[in-house]
Amino acid sequence: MADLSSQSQLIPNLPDDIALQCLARVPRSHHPVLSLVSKSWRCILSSTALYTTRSILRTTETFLYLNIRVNSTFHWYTLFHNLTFTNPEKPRKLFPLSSIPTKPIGPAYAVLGSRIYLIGGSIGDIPSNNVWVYDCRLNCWEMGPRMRIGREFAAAGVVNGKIYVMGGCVVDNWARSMNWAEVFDPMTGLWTALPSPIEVRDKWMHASAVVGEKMYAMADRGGVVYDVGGCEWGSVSKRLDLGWRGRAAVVGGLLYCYDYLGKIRGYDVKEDVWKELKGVDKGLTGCVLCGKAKGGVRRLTLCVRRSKCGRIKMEG
Amino acid sequence: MSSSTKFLTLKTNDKEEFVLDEAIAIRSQTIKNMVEDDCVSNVIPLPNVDSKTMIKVIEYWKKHSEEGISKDKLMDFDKAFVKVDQSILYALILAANFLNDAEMLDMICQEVANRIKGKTPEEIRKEFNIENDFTPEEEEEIRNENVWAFE
Repeated sequence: MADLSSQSQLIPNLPDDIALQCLARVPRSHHPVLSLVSKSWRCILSSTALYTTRSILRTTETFLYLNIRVNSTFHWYTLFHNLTFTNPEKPRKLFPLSSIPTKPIGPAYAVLGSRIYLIGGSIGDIPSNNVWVYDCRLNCWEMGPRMRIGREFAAAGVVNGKIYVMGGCVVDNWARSMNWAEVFDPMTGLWTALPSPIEVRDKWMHASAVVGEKMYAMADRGGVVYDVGGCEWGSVSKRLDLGWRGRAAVVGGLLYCYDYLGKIRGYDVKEDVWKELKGVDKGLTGCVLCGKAKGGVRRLTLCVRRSKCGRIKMEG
Repeated sequence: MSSSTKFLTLKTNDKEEFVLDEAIAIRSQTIKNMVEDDCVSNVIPLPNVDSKTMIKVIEYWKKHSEEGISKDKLMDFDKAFVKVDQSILYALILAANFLNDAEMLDMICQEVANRIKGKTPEEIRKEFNIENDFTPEEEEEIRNENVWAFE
């Protein structure tokens, strides 16, 4: 057993690879406490080895990240549901992320794997082509590959592991015309121009969503839809245009958003109809919607003021 | 069930011999590979496992090989199985690792994780005999980084 000690940096008398298997099973909400145990624990908790092990063991967890405006500046938070190690007298659920070095106005967002991409947005009133990438595992921001052109209030979405971004720029020169839409491939780390017809090139986008292989982007008037599978552009249906207000969440192929009356409605792209989501508590108006379908359970999460959070499980 | 049940003899590092039904013993991928590669003579030596640990491992294997045993019963068994002193738990982990029994290793690693959860850093260090190599200043710095978790 003598030779074990050299490989037992984490837990004495256990080989490090086994200690890693044990640590990977401890939920993330315990990580802040674990990082105080020893230097080697602190080091392993922010290592890719830990997250690779978690992926293999299927002990990865899903977290909700929120960008909330507090007194005209935006702050990022993450939501912990089962935090066991906080002061029971001061229960908290929202926790701040490390702060982003610059704060662009009106960036677009996309999520790939464990990374949140903050795309463009204006800095000092100038649309920027910067891309900031937040690594949810390591809790740090870093600069990502820049877009070909600068944008603010663009639409972004992920289809088949690639980020599609469109609009958010005035097409007043050749470069902006050619690059009105771009696609980012994380495998190559490159942005490439996505050819688009002239008539779809609106400036500002106020909402976007991805349903299946189609990306929907809503402009001030009308909206565009891009079918990634068929490489086809089109305009969104009148019904969708009229009914879509604010941010939307897609769950189980339906696009959910609030209507004028504060009711949540789901749009079925195949049938071109809006359906009201029934059974929602009246107190849950004016929330942020976000959706997730996991393990056969379709869930719509509502974030309400005071950082309360509601979840709607959807049948069928 | 086959009429000609084959038996294997396993020999632990303290020279104890265990005669075991091959169908049960091949829960160990290590033993299974040896059987499949035909490199099994009469006795399989297990240089990394002692007899005290092997008794526990065989108890586990037999329970998990029982026909028609309910999931609830197995869960109760597993729960009781890992309620042991740390030294025995470590010996079981190392045995499961050497014998390459993924299911058993999984269960025991989960038990170690459970023993970590919900404890303060001091309690974790004490339980696992870990030396605190932070200076008080470093510790304070990390606490400040994650101030929300300790409020």
